[in-house]
Formats: sequence, C-alpha cells, structure tokens
Amino acid sequence: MLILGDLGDRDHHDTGAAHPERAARLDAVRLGIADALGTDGILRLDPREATATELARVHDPHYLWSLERLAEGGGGELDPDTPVSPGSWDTALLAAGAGLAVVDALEERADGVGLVAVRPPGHHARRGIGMGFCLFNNVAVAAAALADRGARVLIVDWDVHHGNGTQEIFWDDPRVLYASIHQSPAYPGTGRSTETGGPGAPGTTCNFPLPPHATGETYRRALDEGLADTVTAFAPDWVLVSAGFDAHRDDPLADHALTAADYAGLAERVAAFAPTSGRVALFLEGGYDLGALRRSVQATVGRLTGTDEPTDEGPSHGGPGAEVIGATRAALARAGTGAAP
Amino acid sequence: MNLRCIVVGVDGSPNARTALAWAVALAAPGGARVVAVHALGLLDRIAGETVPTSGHRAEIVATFTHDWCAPLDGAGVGNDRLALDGSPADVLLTVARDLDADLVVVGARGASTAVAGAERALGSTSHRVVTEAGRPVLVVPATTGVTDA
Repeated sequence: MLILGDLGDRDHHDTGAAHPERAARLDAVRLGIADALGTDGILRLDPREATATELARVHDPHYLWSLERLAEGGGGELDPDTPVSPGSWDTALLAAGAGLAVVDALEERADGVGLVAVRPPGHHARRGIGMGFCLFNNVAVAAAALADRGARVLIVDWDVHHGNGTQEIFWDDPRVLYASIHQSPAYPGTGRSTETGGPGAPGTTCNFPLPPHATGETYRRALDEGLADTVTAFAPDWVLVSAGFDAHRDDPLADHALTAADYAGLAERVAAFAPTSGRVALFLEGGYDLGALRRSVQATVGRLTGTDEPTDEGPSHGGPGAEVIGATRAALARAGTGAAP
Repeated sequence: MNLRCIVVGVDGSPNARTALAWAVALAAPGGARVVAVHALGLLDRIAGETVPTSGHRAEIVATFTHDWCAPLDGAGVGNDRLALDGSPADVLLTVARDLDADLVVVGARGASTAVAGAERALGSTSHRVVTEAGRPVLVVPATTGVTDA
C-alpha cells in the first residue's frame, strides 16, 4: 500500500514559466505512480496545513513571519534561485503538512510505504532562511515531529545536491541520523566527508560527496559499505528519504549518471534500514527532467510496493567516486559511529 | 591601518560594479589583494526551461571572470576571481572567513529583487553579510561611485 500525501489541486506556488522547479513535476510524479500501481493500492490522504508549532520545531519564527509577509505582499525572491509567489505560503504549508499526515498515517497503520509528492521541495531550507528552490524543510518538519515523540529517525538524502538545510537543522541533534549522497563540487557547496555532526551529536551526519559522472553502483556501495554499520549502531525507528531524482543521467541540473532502475535499488536498500513495516516515507526533493522523473518514480514505487517489472533502463555500473566511501567511513570512525575502513 | 585582503561580491549588477570599484580603490593605496567572488546557484546550470546546462554554467563563469571582473585588469592590485557554488550570502561569508578578510564589500542590492520590507526582514545578501560576517563590511549603493567618496 502506498500512503500518498500530495497537494491535490491546491498547488499555487508559481515559480514562473522558465523555472525548472515547476508544477508539471508533480504531474510527472502522478504518472509515475500510475505507471507502477494503476489506481489500486494507493491511500491518498487529504491535504492539511502544517501548524506554526510544527514548523517552529525546525524554522525560526522570524523567518516564518517574514516569508508570510513576502507572499502576502505579492511575492519576490529569497535568492536568485528561489522565487516566492502570492500562493507560495499556503502551498508550502500544505507541503510540510503532507509529510506530517503521511507519517501519522503510517504510524497508525503500521504498514505501507509513504510518499510525500509535494513542492516546493525542502532539503536546502535552513532554519532561518529558504534557498535553492526550498521554502520549508518538509522532511525535517516530519523528522522533528517524530523525534519529539521519542523516535530515532534516519534521513537518507539521495538528491544529487547536498541537503545543507537538513544537515544544519539536525547538526547537533543525536535523535536524527542524516546521511547524504550527492555530487561534489556542486550546489550548495557543503557536504564534505569530514562534516560528521556537532559536539552534541558526533557521527550523526554522514556525507558521501561523489564526483561528476558517478553511477548507481557507487550510490549502492555508499549505502552498503559506507553507511550500513552506522545505521545499525544508530538503530532507527523511522526511515525518511529525501528522494530527489536529479542524479538521473538525463537531469539538466547535475552530472551524475543514475538510471530509473538505480533508484529502485536504492529504495530497496533504504527500506531495509527500517526496523519494521510502515516506517518508511519518501519526500520528493529535486528531479527536473520530467521523463526521467516519471520513470524513476515508477521504478521506486514499484520496488517498494512489490509491483516492479524489469525495464530497459537497467542499473548503472562503474564510474568514479569509490574512494569517497572510504573517506567517509574514516571520518565516521573518527567520530565514533562507523567502522574503520 | 593596512588592509591585506578585501572580499567583494560580483554578480553583474550595477551595484556590484560599484562595489568592485570601491574594493579596488580601497585596495590600491596599501597593496591589499582583492578577491572577487561570484555565487553559482542552481539556475546557473540552465539556459532555459529544458536546455542543459553545464555549458551555460561555464559561460557564466567566463562572463564573471572576464567581463564582470574586467575592472581588475590593469587596476594595479593583486586579485583572485572565485566562482563557487552556493547562495550569495553563504559564499561571501565562507570566503571572508576562510581568507580572514579585513573587509567585505557588497552591493546594497544585487541582481535579485524582492518586496523591500520583507526582503530586509528575510535578510538580503547585504543584510546577512553585515550581520553574520563578524568583520568590517562596506555596503555600497549603486548610485554611489568612488569619485563621490
């Protein structure tokens, strides 16, 4: 069963006709879900807005107040990448609320896989300012809600860009293990192997900064050889995924070489980190080639729900970056949460 | 006081051109080094809705290096030209910290626009640099040329 949180017909975040983070992305995701499941096996939740209290767990109230005023005043931009339209505030509230609704539904059902198919994306949004197409950090809002209930939360971020906002928010929080596989050098310039967490949470941040042209094989090895020991030691109650699909070889915003089938393999591995069923939720982040996004969502949802079939777009192999896995393992070992390479 | 290193934000806007002129004028008498910095955002990857890409990024880096920084050519000051990934404020703050810059020069408003009041509240690039740099910052309005000083 796919537990789906989305915006319904209430996506009013207008980024302009030429912006790659556009409403058509959600259409591509819907098509990918339909390709995988048809109309069966989907529980679609009613959209609901995140509350100020829920947002304030991860964002400064001053930022929230200011962003609402900016939207009310007709919009503007947070930086050259990140436009704000009059409808952005309400849409962002729904995007963050969708993640909360999905984890609540999963917790109640103790079964199924969650997918939060919303925009704007979230993982670049910092505590005090949005950036990089992101307004609220949707996955962080959900993780903080779970952590405040006593849960230990693993966030795996396979978006091709480092989730600097998520890392910052949980940098010194031992309740949340944040792991990112991303391209480096690339936007936003953060996410080195040596960034392993603050003094209150050493070793709870794990970064695999892979060079351009890295393939799915290196992503898989990062999870299997670089991260698995740390996850086992952390023993998460929940697994949340910042599921960007912009590491796909067709994506215009990066230079990695993943295929749709690679995402299926990553999803299978990440789901295995969860202690029981009904404890995995994926949050849409990037992914800007609409065809690649559709195929990747189809493969991911299909694998997680056991309905996938082989496709022409098989797993990718080879490529650079294997040495990064050892560097990250060494950094985690120094921080005390990883086995020495 | 001798200035050793001046970091200046450059994004092709009129404000940034004025900021660069101020950085050069302040660096020249004491032989300070000028480090011109441009932040590469996500949209620097693309030239249109669906057009890839890394080629456009290279064009922007070349434009920054050769056109926007042209006032550094023959200015008689040592200089570096850095195009780095990140948000403008984050990149400026990081470079200034890493180089232990004596001064950061930034345009009052760069290429982006926003509703003025909310932008100030949210922290424009110049506002964030002033409040977070922990070192002297010169914020230069576009209308203020160096000859006005």
